[in-house]
Amino acid sequence: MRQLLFILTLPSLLSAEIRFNRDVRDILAKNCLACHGPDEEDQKGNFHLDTFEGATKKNKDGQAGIVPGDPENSLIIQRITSDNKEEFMPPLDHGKPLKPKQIEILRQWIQEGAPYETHWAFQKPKAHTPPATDHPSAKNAIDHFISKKLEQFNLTPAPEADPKILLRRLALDLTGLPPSLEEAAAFSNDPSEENYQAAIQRYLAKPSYGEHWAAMWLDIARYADTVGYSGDEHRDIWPWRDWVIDAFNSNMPYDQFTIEQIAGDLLPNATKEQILATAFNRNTLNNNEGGTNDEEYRIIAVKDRISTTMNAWMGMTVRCAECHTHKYDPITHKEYYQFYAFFNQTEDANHSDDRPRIDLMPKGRESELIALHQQIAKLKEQRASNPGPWVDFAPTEVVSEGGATVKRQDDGTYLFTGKNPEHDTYRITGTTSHDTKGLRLDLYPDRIHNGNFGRGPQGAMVLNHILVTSTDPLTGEITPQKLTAAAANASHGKAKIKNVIGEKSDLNGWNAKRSSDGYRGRRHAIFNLKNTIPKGHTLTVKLIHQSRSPQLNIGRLKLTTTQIANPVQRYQKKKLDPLARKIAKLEESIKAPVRVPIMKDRKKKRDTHIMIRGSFLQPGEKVEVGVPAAFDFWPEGAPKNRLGVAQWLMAPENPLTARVAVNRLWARLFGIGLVETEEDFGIQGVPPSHPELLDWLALKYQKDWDTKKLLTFLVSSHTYRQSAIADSLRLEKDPRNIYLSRGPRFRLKAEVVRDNALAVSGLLSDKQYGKGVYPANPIKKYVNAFTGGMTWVESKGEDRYRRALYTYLKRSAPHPLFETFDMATREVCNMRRIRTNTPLQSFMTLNEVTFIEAAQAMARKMANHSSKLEEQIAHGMQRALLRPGSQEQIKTLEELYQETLKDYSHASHSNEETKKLIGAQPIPSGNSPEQIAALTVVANIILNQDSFLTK
Amino acid sequence: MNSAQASYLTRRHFLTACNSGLGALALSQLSGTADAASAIPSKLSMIAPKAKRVIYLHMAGSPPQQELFDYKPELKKRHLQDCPAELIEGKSFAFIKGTPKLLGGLYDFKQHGETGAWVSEMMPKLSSMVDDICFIKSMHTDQFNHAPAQLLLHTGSAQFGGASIGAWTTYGLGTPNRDLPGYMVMVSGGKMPSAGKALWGSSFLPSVYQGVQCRPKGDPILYVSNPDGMSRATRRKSLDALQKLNRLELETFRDPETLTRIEQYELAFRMQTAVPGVMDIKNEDPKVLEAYGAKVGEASFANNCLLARRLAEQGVRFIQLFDWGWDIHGTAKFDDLKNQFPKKCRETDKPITALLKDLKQRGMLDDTLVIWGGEFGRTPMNEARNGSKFLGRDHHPDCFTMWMAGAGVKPGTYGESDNLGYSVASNPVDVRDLQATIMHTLGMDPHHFSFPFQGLNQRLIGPANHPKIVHDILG
Repeated sequence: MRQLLFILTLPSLLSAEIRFNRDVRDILAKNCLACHGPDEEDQKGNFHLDTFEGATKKNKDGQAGIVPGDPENSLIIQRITSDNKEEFMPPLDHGKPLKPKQIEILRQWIQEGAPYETHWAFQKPKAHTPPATDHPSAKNAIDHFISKKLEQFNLTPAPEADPKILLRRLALDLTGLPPSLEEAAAFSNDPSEENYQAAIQRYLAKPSYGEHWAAMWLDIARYADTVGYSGDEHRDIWPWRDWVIDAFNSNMPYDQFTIEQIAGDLLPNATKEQILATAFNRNTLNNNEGGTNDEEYRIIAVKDRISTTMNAWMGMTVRCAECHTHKYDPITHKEYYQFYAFFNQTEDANHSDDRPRIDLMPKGRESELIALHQQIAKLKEQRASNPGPWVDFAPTEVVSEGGATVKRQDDGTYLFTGKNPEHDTYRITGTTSHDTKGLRLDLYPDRIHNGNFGRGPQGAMVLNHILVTSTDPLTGEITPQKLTAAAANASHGKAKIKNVIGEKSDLNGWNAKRSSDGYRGRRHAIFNLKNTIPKGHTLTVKLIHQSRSPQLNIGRLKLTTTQIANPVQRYQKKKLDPLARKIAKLEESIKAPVRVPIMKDRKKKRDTHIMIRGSFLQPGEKVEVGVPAAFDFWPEGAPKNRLGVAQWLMAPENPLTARVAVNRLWARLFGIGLVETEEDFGIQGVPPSHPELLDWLALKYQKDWDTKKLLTFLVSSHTYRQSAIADSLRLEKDPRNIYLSRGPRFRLKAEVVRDNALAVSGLLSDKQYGKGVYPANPIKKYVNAFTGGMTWVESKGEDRYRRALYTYLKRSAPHPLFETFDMATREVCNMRRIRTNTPLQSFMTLNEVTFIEAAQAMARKMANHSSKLEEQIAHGMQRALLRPGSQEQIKTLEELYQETLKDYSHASHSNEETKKLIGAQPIPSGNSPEQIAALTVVANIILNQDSFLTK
Repeated sequence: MNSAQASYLTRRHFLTACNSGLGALALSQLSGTADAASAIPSKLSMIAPKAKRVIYLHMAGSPPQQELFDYKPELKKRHLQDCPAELIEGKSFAFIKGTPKLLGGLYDFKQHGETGAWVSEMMPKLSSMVDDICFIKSMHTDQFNHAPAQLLLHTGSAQFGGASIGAWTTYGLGTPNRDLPGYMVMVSGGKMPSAGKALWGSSFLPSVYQGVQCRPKGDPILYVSNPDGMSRATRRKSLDALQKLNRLELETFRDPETLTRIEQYELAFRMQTAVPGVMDIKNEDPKVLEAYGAKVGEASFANNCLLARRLAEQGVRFIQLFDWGWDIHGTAKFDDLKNQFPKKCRETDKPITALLKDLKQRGMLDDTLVIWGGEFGRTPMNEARNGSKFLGRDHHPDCFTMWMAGAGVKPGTYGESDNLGYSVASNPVDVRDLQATIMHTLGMDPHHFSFPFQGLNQRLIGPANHPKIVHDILG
């Protein structure tokens, strides 16, 4: 009671107006909703406070949690101020009592009728007029919003940054690479508005722009080159990474970028590129551990797609709703599974081969391919007039004795499906169309057998024995026919083709060796007949499979015959069919396409059930597709599938998509998002620092989804261009620079830390695209449980110095340099890296191989630049920071140089050690190894300066 | 800079420096949430910690409890009889198909010590330490594949994305030694555990709290050594120059992060001696080496046990050893109960015993919590995959044994399995209960110690409230 009296004296402390979103929501969210939120399963006392209806509902005693206009009769006020320990809310073992000011806010809010508001982020962005500002520096609307807010802290915007620092910031932000020395010099001579705008456009047009921003998207997409879990096997999905680079570089509008990645496969007449885009959602993990339930891991992958989609586009966290209704945000358990139903329709199911996949030709091979195809077409024309030695055998009967289904294909091959007996014998019977002296068996891969020619596990096959007989049509006499020689174009180990022509069945038989070439992988075997089988006789060929391992039957085959004698020997001497040989050779030289996993809906729809407590073993009520009621703005006419979901994400009514997207870009440039919790715009997220500005930018972006245009606008602001120099007042009022009282200054992200060092030392390769590369890495061997792991074979030549985003990304063991600098683990969608500052990072930039190689290269650049030490050092600083360095800085490094030179020149110092430090590259003429060693030490420090690691 | 600023910078520096003993407070700086205070459990200091540090010995692959600590005479009696239908109905196993045969424990058991704990002949040395050990025979989990089960155990989430228990601990408690990481990990057995590095990752917690893996060969921590051809003296001189440059930078920009960076480089320099120093066992008493079975220059579980003690001595807060090779399926000689399993027992019995004795002798067992176990248990049935003639057991999440020692844990046995060792018969302990208990022992309140991420106050023990501290085993 004493507390109550105390509070009654307080009202004057409060402002006249209580706003639910600003004043009340946070109090309820933090203190009450965990037990009195939307989750019906978990509502304590059958009472929930998340809606007006819930809060004002009367209980059986006729009391209500909130009685609008009557705080004293509202149960919640009674309970939060109660002196009865049993009644007191929140329960003492659950949280802290509310502060008097919080209680008073609730009281006044109830007094005013307890009006609820929708959470700010769930309302559409509102149009705001940029506030007036008399600050002369303002360049665009951003500056109006920012300086208005700064006024509240008695702060004014900082002056514009030094042009060289500004240009470095701009280039690093837009391309992830520093400007060239020439660009910096030119801009510094004339830092006009015109030149600044030209610089922006120049950087946005560079291919490095797309690489830099793609790297950001890879975190969100949880991209990696392996599948994760125990095996963490390789996965070819890098063509999708190249797709993202191109999408940024071609400035693909964000709506198209979204639709193609979520549902490119469902677009009418989808192009290969649009289908490739859907690999976005195939970056989910596979668990190939023995004994795994594939359905369980398929479901985990689908759920991951839900949380990634909702997180990446709408900043919503939905994983809670897998198991129960979200405790804070408006997503019920049922709604989660309705949304899940959209994504529950794809074919992929934790298959070890990642199917379904699309065959793609690697970039840059197009013209080479066209030429090859033309050559092949020409040869094939020749073939038409010169049919070669082999004649199709037209069987009257093809039988699987073990009961497999046999189907003749249009190309004359026979496909075996259905029952796959342990040991099968295929019997092929027909009439010879010519005197027959040799046979040929061709094996064909087939989609039904997952691109393999065998029916065994992973497409294996073994043929153990061939028996040939002929029948004289006149006498009916059956003659066994001996095969005297055999040859094949591939075999596995001891399982060679000659094993199959003996008297008896051979246990090893012929294993044609699986092909890594996918559908282009063909196998053939050629046999000599001892005696000629006359034309018109019946020929029967029995292909017998009896190997130790069961079910290794052939999947699809074709039999042909020849009248040429000793085809095997001719084949071995390469004289049998030179034309076919040529064609085959050319066909082989076509690089195998890359097979990239993609999204593809099944023909038959899956039913979706609620999973009780998230468990797939406990299906609940069956549900149909749908989106959460709080976001019920399904676009008219949109299909009820993933394509519709993509359109729904981009619908103008969607309150979140544009805000989340602009916030993401903002955070990359300014260090902290307008909503700091980029990954959570929900009730538990941090409210925006500048809500009006966020809305203003969202509405602007939503007009055309033009990313380059928005970035131009952001970096054109004075806010962006401010000097990062802080003073006491700014540090005190705005310690983390949330209000942008100065220019952004923070440590470069993992990829840029490395790329920047390679760039300024002249080592960086600008080669684009392609499969992952293997830069220097102290860890050479990765051993995973249950599979062989991998060996990190360092790339040679320029691949050693490619941009970081091309580094092979083994999910279970990312490259240590990037990991140390906070790169996201690529297991789930990651919207924001939390920057750290650790001694392990110091080890990396001081001692890591690439950084040492960069210092060695930089030392040589410095030596080549001038013979004067002072100029050498100034050049090193210039390369790193675009500024020559102050006198004091130069002096410090000169001293370091002199002392190091002394050490390395000392009689006791071993030349071997010096050589090790300076590396294998030639020494610029006129320099001693010791001088280069001292310069290497200096360069190493230049590349470790705070100002070098920071933008 | 005036004094107020300097004080601000110093405070901030103090808070962000990763190895200071203020892990929990560091959060308020690093997470950047407006009300970070709410994420710091006020109860943190209210529970008197019994354990100052943890040494966690994870037997990756999961050892068979039936051959080690869970003595089941009834199972032996019914050796090679069909498994009762009610046990397998509706259950799915990783590999077992059809009706498997029961498999009695292959090795002899005896009771030991005053507590009369049952230990099999496969752990002859450890059996002398049972009066310091609490065996929990009623462990259970809900995952039966290695990677998810390990993730659940160590990160609180069967899927990737959880923060590891060691990261939570250093985040909450920091570490007293400023020259070493607070959370260190060593791996033996020739392979990484199935779930890989995620088992000691920090996930949503700042990456300063992730485990640092010490490697047996080469640099114990990556790039702790200066590059070839650079002496420590040269490194010192160059760091002096770097510090000067960075101080000039600090004077101009007054960015507090610059100050932190200056300190991180100095810490790195100190670590350059501290880390190789602690990892170098050359100067250990030969008797100690012999007791552990450790050999200088070798990569083994025995060496790792000795290193664990050395790290513990140096104040490392959380030390985790993963030893691969316990996945005793019985598909061949390399994973069966008669060859591989005895080999693993020989490799671990001696060093674990030596570790416990060593800690005890140094008075460190009183405040060091030692934990031993796999990620799940193994079936009371013979797996017989594809008709294998080798004996082995499949994965079994329903019931298994773990043990704890030190930090005031009550010696004895807690919980029971049923006659066949198939299910928990009394005092069940879920892996989340285990996590709650470990945190409690360290002085952290598992139910309130959380970090806001993705709309939820994330906790090691997960979002549900049922995990309980097993007070009965605590002194």
